[in-house]
Amino acid sequence: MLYRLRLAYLRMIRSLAIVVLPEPRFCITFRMDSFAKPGTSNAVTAFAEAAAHFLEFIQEFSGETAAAHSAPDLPLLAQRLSGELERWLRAWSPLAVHSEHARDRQCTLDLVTRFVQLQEQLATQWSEVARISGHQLIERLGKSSNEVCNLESAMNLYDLWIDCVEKAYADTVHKDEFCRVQAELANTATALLLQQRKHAEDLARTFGIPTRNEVNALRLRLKDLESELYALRSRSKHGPHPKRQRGTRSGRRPI
Amino acid sequence: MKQSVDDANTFFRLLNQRVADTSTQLQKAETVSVGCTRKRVVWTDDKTVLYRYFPLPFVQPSPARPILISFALVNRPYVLDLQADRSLVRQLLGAGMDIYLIDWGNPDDADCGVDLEDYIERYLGGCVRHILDTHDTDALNLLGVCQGGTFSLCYCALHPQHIANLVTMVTPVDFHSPDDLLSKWVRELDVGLIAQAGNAPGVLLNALFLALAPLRLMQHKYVRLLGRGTRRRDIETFVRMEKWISDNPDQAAAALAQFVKWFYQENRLIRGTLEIAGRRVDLRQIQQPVLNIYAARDHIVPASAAAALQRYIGSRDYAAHSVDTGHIGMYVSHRARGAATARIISWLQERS
Repeated sequence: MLYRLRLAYLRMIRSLAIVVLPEPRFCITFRMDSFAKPGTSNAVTAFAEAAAHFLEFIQEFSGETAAAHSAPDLPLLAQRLSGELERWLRAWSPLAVHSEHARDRQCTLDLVTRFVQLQEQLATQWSEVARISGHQLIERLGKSSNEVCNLESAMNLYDLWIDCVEKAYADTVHKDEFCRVQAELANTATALLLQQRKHAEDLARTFGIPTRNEVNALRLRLKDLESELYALRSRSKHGPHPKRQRGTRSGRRPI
Repeated sequence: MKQSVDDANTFFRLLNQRVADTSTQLQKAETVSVGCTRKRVVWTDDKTVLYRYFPLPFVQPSPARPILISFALVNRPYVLDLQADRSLVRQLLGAGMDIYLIDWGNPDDADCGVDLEDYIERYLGGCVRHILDTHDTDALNLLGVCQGGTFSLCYCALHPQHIANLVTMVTPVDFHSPDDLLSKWVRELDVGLIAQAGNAPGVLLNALFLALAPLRLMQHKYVRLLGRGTRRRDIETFVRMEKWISDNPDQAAAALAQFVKWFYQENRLIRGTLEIAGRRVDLRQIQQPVLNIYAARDHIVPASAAAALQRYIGSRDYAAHSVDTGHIGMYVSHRARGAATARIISWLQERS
C-alpha cells in the first residue's frame, strides 16, 4: 500500500516537474524576468529546484524499495542520499556560483539552438521563394524571344525577373507562418542579446567596473531630481503646481 | 552564329563600360551635401532641436499661421529639404509661409527611457508652445509626416486649441489594415524584451524596411541606374537619397516598445484606448480642418492605413489627397511631391 502511494506521488511530482523544469521557453522567460528585477521573488525557481531535488530523493527511495520489494539496502540508500546531499551543499555554498553559471550557460545554449532552428525554418521559406520565382519567370517568358542584344532588352528581362521575385516574396512573407517564425527569431535574438549582456554585466561587476544597469539607475535618479527641481522652481514662481508641465519655455532652453 | 557571338561580345563590352562609368560617377558624387535651405536653431530640449527656416528672398510673406513640421523618428527630416528642386520646405517657403521643423536628434543610451509621452507632450508640445509664444498667437498649422503625423494626431487630439489646421502626410492611422506587412511582422514581437534590450539600432530598423521589398530596394534600384545613363545631376540626386536612406537614428527603447505595442499590436489609436500622459487620446477631439495626403503605392504605410483617418476624427472639414507614388516618392519625386505640396499650399491659403 505504502509502495503504491509512493509511486502515485512520484508520478504526480514527475508531471509537475515536467511542466516546471525542462521547458526551454520557461527557462528563457524566467531568466529575463529574474535578472532584470533585483529584490523580486525567486519563488518559482526555488520551487523548481526544490521539487527536482525532492523528485530525486523520492526516486532513489522508491527505486530502492521497488527493486528490493521487502528488504531495501538501507546502507547503500544512505550512501547515495549522502552523496546527493554533499553535492547540493557544495553547490549551495554562497561562495560557489558554479550552478548559477551552468544555468546561464545552458540558457544561452538553448537560445542559440533555437535561433539556429528558426533560421533553418526561414531558409526553407527562402528556398520556396526562389523556386517559385524561377518557375514564374519561365512561365511569363513563354515563347517570346528572350534574346538579350542591347541594354534595353537586358533591362526588360531584369525587370521581369524582379517582378517575379517580388511577387513570390510577397506571397510568402504575408503568410501567418512566416510572420510567426520571423517574430520568434527576433524575440530569440533579443533574448540572446540580453543573456550576453548579463554575462558582460557579471564580468564587469567581478572586476569592479560600473555596469549599464548602474549607469541607468543613476540616470533615472538624475531625471527624478531634475523633475523635483523643476517642480520646486515652478512652485516658487507660480505658486503651488499640482503636476509638472514639462517643456514649457520657462523651464527649457530657448535660443 | 559568329555574328551573334560578336554581337554578344560587343554588348557585354558596352555593358561593362556602362557599369564602370556609373560606378565612377557614384564615387564622385559621394561628397554631395544634403539639405539646402538656410535655417537656424530656435529651441532645444534634450536632443530635440527646433529649426526655423529663413524666408526666401523676394517672397511676399503669407498671412497664414506658422507651420510646424513633425517628421518620423526613424529617419532624418532633411529629406523634406533634400536639394533645391526637391524640397517640400522650399516650396512652402516659396509661398511665403513661415516654416519650423523638428529634428528629434540621435538618441543614445542615456535616452533609452525616453518614451512617447516625452516625444509628444514634452518635445512636440515644447516646440508648439515656443512657436505660439514667439508669434504671440493661440494656434499654429501642424504638418505631420509618417510617424510624425501619428504624433501630430495625438497632440492635436490632446491639445486641439493649439492647432488651427492639421495636415498629415503618409501617416499611419489604422495599424491593422490587411495589406500592412510591417504590422503583420511586428504583431508577435515581445515588446518586454525590446524595452529591456536598450535602444534599437537604426540600421536594424532600416534593414526591416528594406526587407519589405528587398529585391526592389536593394538590387533593382541600383541596376536601374545603368538604364538612366550617367547624367551627373541624376547620380547626385540618387546619392543624396542613398545618404538619407542610410541615415537612421537609433530608436529610444521605451518609445519604440510603446509604439510597437500600442499602435502596431493593439491599434489603440483608432480603438480609442490610447493614453498619453494619463489622458485618453480621442481622435474625435480633432475638429479643426484636416488635409490627409497619402501615397497610393506606399509599401510602408498602405493607403488604407492612412485613409482610415476620416472615419475616426471629429472634423467636418476633411479633405483627402491620394498621390500615385510610393512612400519615398512622396518626399522627393518631382511630380508627386510637387503636386502634394501645391495642394497643401492652396488648402492652407484657403483657411488662412
